[in-house]
Amino acid sequence: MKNKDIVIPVVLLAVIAAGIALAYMPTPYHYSLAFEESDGTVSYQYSSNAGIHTTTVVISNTGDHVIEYVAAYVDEGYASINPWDLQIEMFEDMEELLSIRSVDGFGMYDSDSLSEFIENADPASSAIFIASGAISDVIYDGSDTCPLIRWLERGGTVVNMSGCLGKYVSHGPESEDIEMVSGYGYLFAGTSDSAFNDYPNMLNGNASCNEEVRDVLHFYMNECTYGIDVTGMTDFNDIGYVSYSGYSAAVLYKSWNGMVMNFGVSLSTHEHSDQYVAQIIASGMDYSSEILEYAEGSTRGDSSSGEFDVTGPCSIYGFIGSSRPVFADRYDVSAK
Amino acid sequence: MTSDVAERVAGYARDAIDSVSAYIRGLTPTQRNLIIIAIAGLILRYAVGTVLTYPRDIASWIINTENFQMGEDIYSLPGHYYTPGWGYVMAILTAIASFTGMPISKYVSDFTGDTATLPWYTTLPTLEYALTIKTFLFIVDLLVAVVLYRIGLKTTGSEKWGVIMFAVWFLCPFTIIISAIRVMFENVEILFMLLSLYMMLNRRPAMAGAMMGISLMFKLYGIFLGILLIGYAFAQSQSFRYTGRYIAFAILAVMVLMLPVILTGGFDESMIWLTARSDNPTSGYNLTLLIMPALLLASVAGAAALMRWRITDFGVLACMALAITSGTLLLAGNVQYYLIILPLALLMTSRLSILPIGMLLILAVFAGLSFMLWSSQLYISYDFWGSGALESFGEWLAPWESRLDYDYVKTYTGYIAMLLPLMILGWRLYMYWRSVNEE
Repeated sequence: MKNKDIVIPVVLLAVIAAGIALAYMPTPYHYSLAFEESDGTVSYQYSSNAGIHTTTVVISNTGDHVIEYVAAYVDEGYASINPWDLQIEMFEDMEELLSIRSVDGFGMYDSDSLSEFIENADPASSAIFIASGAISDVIYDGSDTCPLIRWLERGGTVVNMSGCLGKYVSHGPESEDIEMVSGYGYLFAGTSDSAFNDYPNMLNGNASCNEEVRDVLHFYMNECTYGIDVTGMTDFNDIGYVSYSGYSAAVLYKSWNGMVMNFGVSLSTHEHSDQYVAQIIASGMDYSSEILEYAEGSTRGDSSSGEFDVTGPCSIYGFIGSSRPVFADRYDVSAK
Repeated sequence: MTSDVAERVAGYARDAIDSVSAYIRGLTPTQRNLIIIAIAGLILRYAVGTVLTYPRDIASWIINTENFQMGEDIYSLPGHYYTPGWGYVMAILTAIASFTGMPISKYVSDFTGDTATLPWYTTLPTLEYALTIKTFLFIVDLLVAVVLYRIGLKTTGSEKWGVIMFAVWFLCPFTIIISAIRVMFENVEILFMLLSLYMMLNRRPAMAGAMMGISLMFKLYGIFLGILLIGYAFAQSQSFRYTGRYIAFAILAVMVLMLPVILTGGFDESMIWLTARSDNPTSGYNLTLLIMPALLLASVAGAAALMRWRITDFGVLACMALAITSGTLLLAGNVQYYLIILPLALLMTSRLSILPIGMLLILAVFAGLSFMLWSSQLYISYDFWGSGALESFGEWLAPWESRLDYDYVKTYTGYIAMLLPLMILGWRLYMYWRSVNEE
């Protein structure tokens, strides 16, 4: 009779032990996505030991900005607008989120090593990621001859998140070393400085939205705190929500020969928006992109495979996941 | 050939029905009552849980699931804001959902509001995923009822008391709201806490300690009862060795559950529920954290009193635990926290306790319903009703919402929830003192 009393505790101990094993032993879930191209057709095949929703999207692009490596700017020797520890936390999460989307190249760079990176990296497949709000004067000084502009001239990509790109130059470690410059709107986007929002409080966008990108790529970004008013800009792709004051939460725009991806979210809530940023970087989307076609299915059954007739340049981006991707991969089709 | 098979199947069916009938006939009236209450409670839960779901917390469970599916552990990506116990449960539920091929969630564009970046405004669970998690919580609800029954039986010797405790817990609307609609795991913490008590009643201090340690790894409210149980263990045994076994196994359980978290660098994140909220100067949680040291001291004093006067009266222990734990409810914003009142009030197991228990139950139900009205439009099970219902349900409840000041209700509920148990404790201690003097 006494032993009967410990049946429930013993069963529950076993449940907890199983939970610890599942949470901390090597993952029991496996995924893969294989592509094959022949005669203008790309076929795809998902496989997994789990049954999860899939989405496969054909995205047109220029073929010049398909990111495989991300260089994050982190230099604690220079003052920044956003706290460095929060940026590093975000970058650590971003590295994971890009990795599960098969973008495995990621590194953190200080000003000097980033200068070297700018000179040597392949601009067509690399991006510089800035979330500091202020950029060190080794990289950017407000002129069109600085390394950051040279990177864009070479055709590179800059991902800017949670800050007003180009507005602040940092000359040293103290906050008073930060200098505000003007003309950054024209320098990066050919527009006025006032088109770049640098609002001190969170600004939400719900006036309109790019519904196709939202629904197909599961891209729900509507915070426009550091958004851009695209009026007057030419080569751009407005992919998020837009505020009633006209600021877009997420804009990909042509800058020199390169591209800037601008995400207007605050860093304080980065844990909610990181996945969206990673999704766009990994998808192969650029300022010229359109969603040409997409197919939904499951990792199990007939819908785990399919094919698209394609004309390059474009990217085929497939992801597994009900709402947030748990795995993704991309296949780039070059121009014939 | 076919008719042979049919006859055999019919024979098996008759045998099965006969066996079940014989089993039911063999049950005692108490067992029959318990089974009827259990079936009624489960039917209620599935009925309510199918049509109503509060999406905010379950959005976090969706993130748990997705993180595990990514191959991450509990804390390697943001999304789990508690100590790791519930994360371990989610790892199991994720495996069930993944290997059965169950759809997890949907982004629902008509649900996006001003803060679409936040997952609970965009991500809604599918019905099957929600019901998987709820089923686990329903089983836990049932186990809590079983343990309450056994404690009631053991402490009062009355099956009737046991059945009352079983029924009050399992059929209480508030309990049903928390597991079936709110989808929160307060009941898991309560189950381990009650198992700790039950094991101590059965003089199994090691298992009692292990259960208490696991309870703390779900939520931290059990800490007060955990400290009081040190005093109770000593009063019960007069043995430092016996008491030490309880303490050692509680610490061991915490270490076992925390070890993988610490080794993988997730300790800071596992404490974020406490640290992040204490950083917020305007938060009610901050005040709760300020009174936490006072409540811990009160627990130590209570344990010392149990030791010093060798009090083994279970009702006194329950009263002390209720009075101290209720202190955390003052200004602690979320409705599910009040659930802990129910089992502790029931454990006082005295006929004269019916009035305060009844008041606490009404209070708890009122708090639960008022919270539902406060954010009514969110409670629809989207997958069951479809998107149109989101709006119409919200409109239907809007007049009620406008009549109810949730903050007002919450504040006064907190005051009453704290003061009433203190009064009960005073009365209970007086009764105890009188009975000792009469002896």
